[in-house]
Amino acid sequence: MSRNKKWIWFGIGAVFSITLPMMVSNPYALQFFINMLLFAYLATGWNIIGGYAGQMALGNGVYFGIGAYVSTVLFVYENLSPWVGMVLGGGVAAFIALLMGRMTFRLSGSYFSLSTVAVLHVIRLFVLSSNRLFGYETRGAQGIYVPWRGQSFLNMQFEGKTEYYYIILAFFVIGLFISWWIKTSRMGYYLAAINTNQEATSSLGVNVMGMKLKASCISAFMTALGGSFYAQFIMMVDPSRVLGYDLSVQIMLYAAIGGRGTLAGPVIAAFLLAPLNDLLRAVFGTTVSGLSLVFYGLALMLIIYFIPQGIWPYVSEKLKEMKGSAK
Amino acid sequence: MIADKERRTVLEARNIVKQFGGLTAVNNVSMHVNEGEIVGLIGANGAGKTTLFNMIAGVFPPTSGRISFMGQEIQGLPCHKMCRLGIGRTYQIVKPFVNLSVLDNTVVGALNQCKDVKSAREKARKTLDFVGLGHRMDVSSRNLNLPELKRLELARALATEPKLLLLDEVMAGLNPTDSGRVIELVRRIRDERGITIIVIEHVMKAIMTLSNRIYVLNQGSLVADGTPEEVSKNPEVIKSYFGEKRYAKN
Ligand SMILES: Nc1ncnc2c1ncn2[C@@H]1O[C@H](COP(=O)(O)OP(=O)(O)OP(=O)(O)O)[C@@H](O)[C@H]1O
Ligand SMILES: [Mg+2]
Repeated sequence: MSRNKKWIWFGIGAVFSITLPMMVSNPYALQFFINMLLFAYLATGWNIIGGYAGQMALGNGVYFGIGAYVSTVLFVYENLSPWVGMVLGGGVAAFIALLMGRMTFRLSGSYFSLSTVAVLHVIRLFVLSSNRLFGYETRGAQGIYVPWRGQSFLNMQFEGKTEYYYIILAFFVIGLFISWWIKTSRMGYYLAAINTNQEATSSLGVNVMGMKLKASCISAFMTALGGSFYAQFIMMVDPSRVLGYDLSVQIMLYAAIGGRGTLAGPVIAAFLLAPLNDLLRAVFGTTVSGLSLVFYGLALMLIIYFIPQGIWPYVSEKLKEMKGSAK
Repeated sequence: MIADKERRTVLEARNIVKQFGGLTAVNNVSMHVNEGEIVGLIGANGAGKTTLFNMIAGVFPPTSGRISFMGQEIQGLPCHKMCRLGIGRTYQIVKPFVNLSVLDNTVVGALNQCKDVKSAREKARKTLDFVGLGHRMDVSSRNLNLPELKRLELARALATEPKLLLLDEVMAGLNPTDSGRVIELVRRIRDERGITIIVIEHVMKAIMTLSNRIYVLNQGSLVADGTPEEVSKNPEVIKSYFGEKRYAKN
């Protein structure tokens, strides 16, 4: 794609996304888009460690939960603005990613993946079985409700959904920018090399462990911020909502289906699949419970079966072919 | 030619031992390499040549012994630190980054000494031209044939700007024409870039024409060293490396 064309697409996207809340008056429809953006953002964050660096982390949901809990607890009990709380939550998540990485990056392949699931499991059980965490009442499985303290930007509380939409849109744009920046910088080259051959990468002067830890921390930080946002948006946290396995798997699936290691892939997959999930639930959710999941799973299986390399690599290859034959 | 003693010692290994469980892969080896030399390292399969390289390149530490590089003790440092100090290496079994283009493969190496991606890309281009892969720059490294992959290994290591280059069988599997080109290239790396080189090679003709000096390993131990003529006349070498039959044929 030429430079100009890219900017035109970018402009269209910008105008559309900024004016969207004015065109969509139905709050449920807007929620639809908030969901899309949130998942696109989370998948973009996962892609840094899971795609660029090729480390199949399956437990990224743990950082989402940490972000949600830290900012919520601090808001509820300490009256700390979620904007500050979420940076702290991100810091905690990055720190845990660092600790975990030090232990698990020495493991190879599927053992690494399994260990990330194990950590999610441990933290989830820990939160589930504790009434108090670090002196704050978190009420185990029940979770905490976020009290309404009046519409305020500082409290990240709004009566409508429009403001939430713009916040997550900003998250998404910044996340995408970070991902692009990493991909095109020194770090991007190093992560891509680590993805295929760690030994050869280190022989070229790259501190492989350090790079993986850095990627993992950035990914964890981004994911945790998403968790904080989500908690403010739905005004509650509980282990099943913010520390579930399905969330971790969903994030990973979007990135994998869209095209691991590509900038646009995770975004495209999230934009297609998150609404599909919502739509199926809206259609079948009331008639037969669970049926929507069957269709959703079937759709995922078909995509993985027919385009295993991911949607975006597939589409861009086809586009190239079309251009080639047009000439 | 400058006399051996006047040159700076780039690498010195003293009493290096490497044990894998009960197996002694490298047994009390001492060697040195002077600036601007091409030093050959030969020995039968399993003699411990690659293991020796792996210790110099920091893949694993020696069980005992010392290695110094430009006067600094380096044994036990990790790979990436060795590279940053100026030790580059290629792999006997090529390890291309198959998800990247030939150029990007080389950029990863070039970033070692470059401040930004732009200058690294420039250097990678020049390095690829130097090794004769300039016309294949934008191809995915997945699509290279073996001679090209060996050159890519070379380009990547060269792009890190090493002072010492360890070449592990860069001619293995190449036909005589291709390996002749590689011999020429290795010489140019030393002459034009002033890089000191250690080569492991089974192709005797190549090692004899390239090397200033040769070390011979047999089952982990050093059995001979000297100029190519000295080494090829050494009865110990003829027995342990060339094999009696092969010697008789020559
Ligand atoms: N990482 C390792 N773990 C265990 N044993 C090893 C390891 N690396 C090498 N060895 C053993 O050490 C011995 C020396 O192997 P090395 O690869 O150094 O030989 P080589 O001289 O390079 O042989 P070739 O000419 O076949 O490449 C062999 O017996 C090999 O099986
Ligand atoms: Mg070997």
